[in-house]
Amino acid sequence: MDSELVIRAQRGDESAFAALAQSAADRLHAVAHRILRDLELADDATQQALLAIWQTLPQLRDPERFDAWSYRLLVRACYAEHRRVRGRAPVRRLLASDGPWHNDAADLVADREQLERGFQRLSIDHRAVIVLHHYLGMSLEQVAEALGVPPGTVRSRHHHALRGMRAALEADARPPRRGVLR
Amino acid sequence: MNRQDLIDRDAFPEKLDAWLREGSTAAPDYVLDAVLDQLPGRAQRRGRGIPLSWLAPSTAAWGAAAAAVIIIAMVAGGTALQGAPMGAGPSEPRATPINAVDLATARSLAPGRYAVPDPLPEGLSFEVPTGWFGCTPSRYEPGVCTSLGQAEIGVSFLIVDDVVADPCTGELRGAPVGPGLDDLASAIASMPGFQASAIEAGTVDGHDARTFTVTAVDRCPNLTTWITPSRTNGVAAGEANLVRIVDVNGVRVVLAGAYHPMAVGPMDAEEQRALIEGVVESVRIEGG
Repeated sequence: MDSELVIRAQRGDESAFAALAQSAADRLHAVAHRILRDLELADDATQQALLAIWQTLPQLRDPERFDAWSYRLLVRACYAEHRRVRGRAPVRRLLASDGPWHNDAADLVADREQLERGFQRLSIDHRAVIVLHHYLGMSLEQVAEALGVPPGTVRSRHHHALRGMRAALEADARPPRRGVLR
Repeated sequence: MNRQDLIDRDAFPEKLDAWLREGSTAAPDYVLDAVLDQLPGRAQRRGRGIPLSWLAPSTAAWGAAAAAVIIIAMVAGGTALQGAPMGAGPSEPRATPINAVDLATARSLAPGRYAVPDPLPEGLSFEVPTGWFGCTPSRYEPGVCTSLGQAEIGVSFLIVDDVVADPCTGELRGAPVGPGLDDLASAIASMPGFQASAIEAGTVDGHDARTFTVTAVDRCPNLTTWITPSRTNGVAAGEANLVRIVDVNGVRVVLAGAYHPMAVGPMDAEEQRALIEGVVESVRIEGG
């Protein structure tokens, strides 16, 4: 991140912001996609976050903190997208497996599906902590600073998120009933 | 490998990390194009250059204004805030200078207008009358107080992350409070152990706001309330808080004006509340 670009963009320089947005768009979109689990929603959240960054950039006091600050606005945009579509999300039916599992490829697919299901049961707050920590490799203290919440809250969210996913996976791993689970 | 491998404590984080690495790593061009197309119609929100140097406040002007606020509020029976609309439009430029002092250490404040410090949003300022001092337990909750005999009343400016589920035990909610003004207002107003007035919507200098009052009832001696980035706050039994939550460019700023309706002292509940309202109603948000 180039602090000079941030400072110029703060002063209203659209070309500086364009360069800044160009360099930030991919990482923001990658995080949005992992939080929201939907490419179209990630497109919208990234777009809204970049516009919010432009509009509120003059209020960023420390240009060196641009990256962390941009994640905070992105997570807010993810919230908004999630709320916007929550009421009309399709109901997914989960197919029970007949196990046991023998095939490695099938295992990989099943892993992904189970992780997906477990992850989608988490709140956006919890997902954001998981993605920033496990995908971006931020420490929990850095996540706390990026999201503007206390480190203790982030540690708690991380703990509860992992526990929630494990609980979901354990539930899925119990002997399945045949047919369609509702 | 079987299903148990995935939920094994050691294997799980590794599987999770690998799964997260899958997926998009590039934003489609149209996302950036759409953003850049919209820039000309999207004005940046910037402050108007609040001077941060110490400037002498206008004591006489404040004294007259404060007296008027108190008299009006007393005549209205302490209901002026609920009954009056909040300021609807952007703030007008004012001649009143703004003081910059460390509210954590200021033993006394000259009457006048003060700006809240970082990390509260830039451009937010308020006025205090004679006899107030800084009372700031952490950088996330700068505040000003005044002493009424044995008790203190005051107004804090807070960034609140969450609200407790059980004020007696401080137990957290199952899920954090949602991101909207109404989410936070409802969460605070519905805390067990508190009586709350109706939540009223309005604006402060064009920024959305919600206002209500919560009063601690005698459910337990001390009640925990909301959580800032530094600590869990609490109130004493019987304490009332005039709460106004303002959306300042995406940041929820909570104004909590604490007073003691049941306390025996030099001011009754209405007089205390009028003082609190004077500070809360003086809040202005420059820019944005």
